[in-house]
Amino acid sequence: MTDFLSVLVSGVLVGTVYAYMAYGLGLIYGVLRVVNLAHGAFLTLGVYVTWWLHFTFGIDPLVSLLVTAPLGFGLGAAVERTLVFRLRDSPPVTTLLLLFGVWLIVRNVLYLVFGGTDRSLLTSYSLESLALGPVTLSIPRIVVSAFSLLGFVALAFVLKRTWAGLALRAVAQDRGAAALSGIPVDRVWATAFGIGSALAMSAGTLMSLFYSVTPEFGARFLLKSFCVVVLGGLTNIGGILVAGIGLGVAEDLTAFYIHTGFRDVVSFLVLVAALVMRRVDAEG
Amino acid sequence: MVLRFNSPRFALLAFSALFAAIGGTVACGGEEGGLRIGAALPLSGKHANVGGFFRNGYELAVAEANAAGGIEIEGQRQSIELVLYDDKSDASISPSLLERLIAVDGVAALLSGYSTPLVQAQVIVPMRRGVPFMNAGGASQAIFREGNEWVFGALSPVESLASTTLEWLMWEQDHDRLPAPLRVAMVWQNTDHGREYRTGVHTVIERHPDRFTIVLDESFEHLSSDHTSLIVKVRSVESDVFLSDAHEPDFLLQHRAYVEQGLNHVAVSYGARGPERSVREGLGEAVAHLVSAQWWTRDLPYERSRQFVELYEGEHGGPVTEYYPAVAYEAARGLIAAIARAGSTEPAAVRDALMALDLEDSLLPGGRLHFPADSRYQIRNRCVIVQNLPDGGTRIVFPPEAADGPAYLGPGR
Amino acid sequence: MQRPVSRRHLVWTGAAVVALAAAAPLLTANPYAARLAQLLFLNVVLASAWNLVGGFAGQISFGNASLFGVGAYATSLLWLAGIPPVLTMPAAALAAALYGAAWGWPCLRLRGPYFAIATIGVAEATRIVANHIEAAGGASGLTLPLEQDIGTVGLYALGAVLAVVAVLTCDLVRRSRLGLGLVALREDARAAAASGVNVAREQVKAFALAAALTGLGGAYYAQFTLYVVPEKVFGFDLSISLVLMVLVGGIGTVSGPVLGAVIYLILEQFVLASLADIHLAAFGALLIFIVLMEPRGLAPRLVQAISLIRRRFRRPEAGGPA
Repeated sequence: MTDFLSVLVSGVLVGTVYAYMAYGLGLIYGVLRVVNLAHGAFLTLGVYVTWWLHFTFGIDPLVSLLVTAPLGFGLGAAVERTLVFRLRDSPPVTTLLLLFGVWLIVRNVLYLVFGGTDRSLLTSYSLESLALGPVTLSIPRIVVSAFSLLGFVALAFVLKRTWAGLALRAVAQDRGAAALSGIPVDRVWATAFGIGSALAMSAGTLMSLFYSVTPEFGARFLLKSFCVVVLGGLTNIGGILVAGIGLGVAEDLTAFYIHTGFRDVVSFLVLVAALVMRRVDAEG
Repeated sequence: MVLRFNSPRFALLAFSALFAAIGGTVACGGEEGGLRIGAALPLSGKHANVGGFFRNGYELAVAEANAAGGIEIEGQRQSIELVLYDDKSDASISPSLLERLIAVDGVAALLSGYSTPLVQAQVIVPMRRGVPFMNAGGASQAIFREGNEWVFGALSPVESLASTTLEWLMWEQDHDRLPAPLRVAMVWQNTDHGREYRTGVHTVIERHPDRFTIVLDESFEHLSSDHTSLIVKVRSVESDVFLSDAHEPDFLLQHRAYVEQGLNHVAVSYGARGPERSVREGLGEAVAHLVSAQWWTRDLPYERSRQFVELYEGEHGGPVTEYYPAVAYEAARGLIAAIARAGSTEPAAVRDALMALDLEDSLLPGGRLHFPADSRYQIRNRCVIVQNLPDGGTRIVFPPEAADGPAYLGPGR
Repeated sequence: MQRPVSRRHLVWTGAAVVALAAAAPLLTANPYAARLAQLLFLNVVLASAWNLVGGFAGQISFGNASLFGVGAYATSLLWLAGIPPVLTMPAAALAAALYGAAWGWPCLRLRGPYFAIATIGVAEATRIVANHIEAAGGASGLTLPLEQDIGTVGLYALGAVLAVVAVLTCDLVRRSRLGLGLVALREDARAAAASGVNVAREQVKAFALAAALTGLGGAYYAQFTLYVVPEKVFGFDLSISLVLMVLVGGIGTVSGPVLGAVIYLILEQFVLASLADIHLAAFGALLIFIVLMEPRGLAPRLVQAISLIRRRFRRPEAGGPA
């Protein structure tokens, strides 16, 4: 029973991380209808910037959220304005190629600056844990989960309650109609890409609390983010949160009760099964 | 004539230029002049973290040989040129780059890349072309095929990591510091590396069934996103010793979960992981007392090893906590020594020199670099067992003749 | 309807075959050139196969490595069981086609990013499961016998045949009813269904065909690499490189994948290997440049260039039979 609870709790905590790293991907797809292949680049950048701030100035990773989030917004908006924007009327696959190119460049820059060795950081609370009855909770994981929920609430608030959010949703629903009703679509696109990248980079910051990083870091989490976003319904932020947690729990239970090696098989099979079963509403 | 890059003319020009480039490079093969050795290394991609160390090690050995005036080939002193390409950690690019090194750059011999899958793909080329190939980066025995006579291994098999670790445990048992049988929980990454580690453990245990009982034997995928459930599993089986074979990213997550879940064993080992600088960066005090098996460590009391440390750290800063550059350096040094002894760049002459090579001043554990024919020219050295100290240093605890002192053993269950 | 095989078509194919045959002694004499030719043929086969579904039907797959790997493993296992590798190739094609049809049947009902991401899921799951199949060497893969291969010339010929077959298949499909159905589907799935295209069946047919070709590619790869391992043959890197090749060359055209395969190989081998420190960035910048300048790929531009030259040369001898 203790084992079951430990595994379950671990799954939930991991799941919230999955959700956080997928918000940005979902938002960008929702508004621009672009699959952001550079998502992994922003995640990786987030970890490296955080690592560097900690290594050089001793800044706590949670404080560096104040740096990585705005930086992510700026970089994302810049990528949209200079590159993605030019392909708005081309077939969607071309943006894949473009953003893959961006990812390659970012990776190369990271190799030149940081080299290829694994980097990781250690804070005073990195290895602390909290005993809650028979279950042990890791402090950094709790903190990250709290931020994931906070991110969800903030994003939901922006989308539902602010004018900017209204504009984002309008463009997501019908770009032409939104343009006709006076919404500056260009600016909305740049904003959405910016927010999406800010979310990705801040996710990287949070992940730096327990993952080590190399320039290739983004690849494995890009695939996982795809899973979460698609399971959650691509554009639905609430769905992404639920899907992330569901996936985290499913993986950990499989790993514990079936075989550790099969945790990722499960996440991918769940993904395919969910997609195929839901194909009616996926046609749109 | 105005040439815009949107015009068909430009496209045609571009294509002709590209094809001319391909034709030119292939055609100007077999460049003369100088003695060249070459390697295709994973300088980017999955194994880039290690590729850089290999480059440093190879470059150091070549620079050292050149500083000493190069080597004598058919009565003429020649300096050595090292030609390196990046294979992006891709097993289909890697062999083609070796073909290129042979056909276009005219190298006399090849040095390996890193990681068993990449080296496995590489060795086909030297075996086909009959070019000496020095392997410092693939430990798997499967690399050394039956009838092999071109591939030489300076890296002992992964199995010796496992078997040396168990030998150490048995030595502690012999000295009544550990009980017998020991309950062993073993997890291994499901790659070539992990599979051979597991084989190594099982081989020793079959020979000494009274010494060990395996209570957990499970694999995990390389680059898992979390290891908590695996560690909970380890906790649930009650064991004395925890053995894991993991690469750095998995090791970090696993040990983090280990500490969080409050586990205790008399000895904890993550294969070859532990002394790396980057590991201490992320886990700090938590890596104290971890035991690791190493193909090389900077504490080895050999003259050659000390020289290497001094040279390497002078060049790249220190301390050098990974074995990669040392083994790479030693492999390149061995190859250069063999070419010098052959006094020729003739492949068969270099091969014969490698077969006969026996350097008594090696920096490898055991102090000897040689390629025994009965293991298909792969070196078979025992590893060294190293324990992390709480202050950040490391100490050799096994084999006894190299040990700096007794190991610290944990309280256990 | 168009005739399935026109005379011009035959002429071009004949020319390509003659050119490949003429290049053989030149390329097989130099081992490096021979290796490049093998890689090039492999890329042409894989990219053309990808294009059958990705280009004509507009279903972008990031999971073709799963089919490639099945082909590679089928050949390797039969080879190790004692069957000469060339004879195992039909089995490899069949195994890959069956596997492709098995997962294509449910997944091809999805469209757009849903399909693309489902393919990633299938391929990654396949890779991990392959890691656990002990009978096929698990994560260590299989090492194939060095003694039994068909030699440089044999491999060259085999690759050339496969490449020509792949390109011809692409061309035949494009002209066939199946191709028309696929294109209709790409342009408007609902309208295609309404006008009598059996959307599901046509796609699965095309996908099984693509899978068979990809499986042949895998079988070929096993024969010149002599080592298959899940991390490589089922890897995501392989899948994505196919997409890049086709997009660079020109998606939905017959010449596009061929051109893409050539350019990809040149970039990989010549431009990039020598620029060790900045090659990822150089590759990335080039991709961005191509996409921004030629979003439809380079093939349409090349066709334009060729026709320009032909016009130049034809002008004096005007008035010949059309």
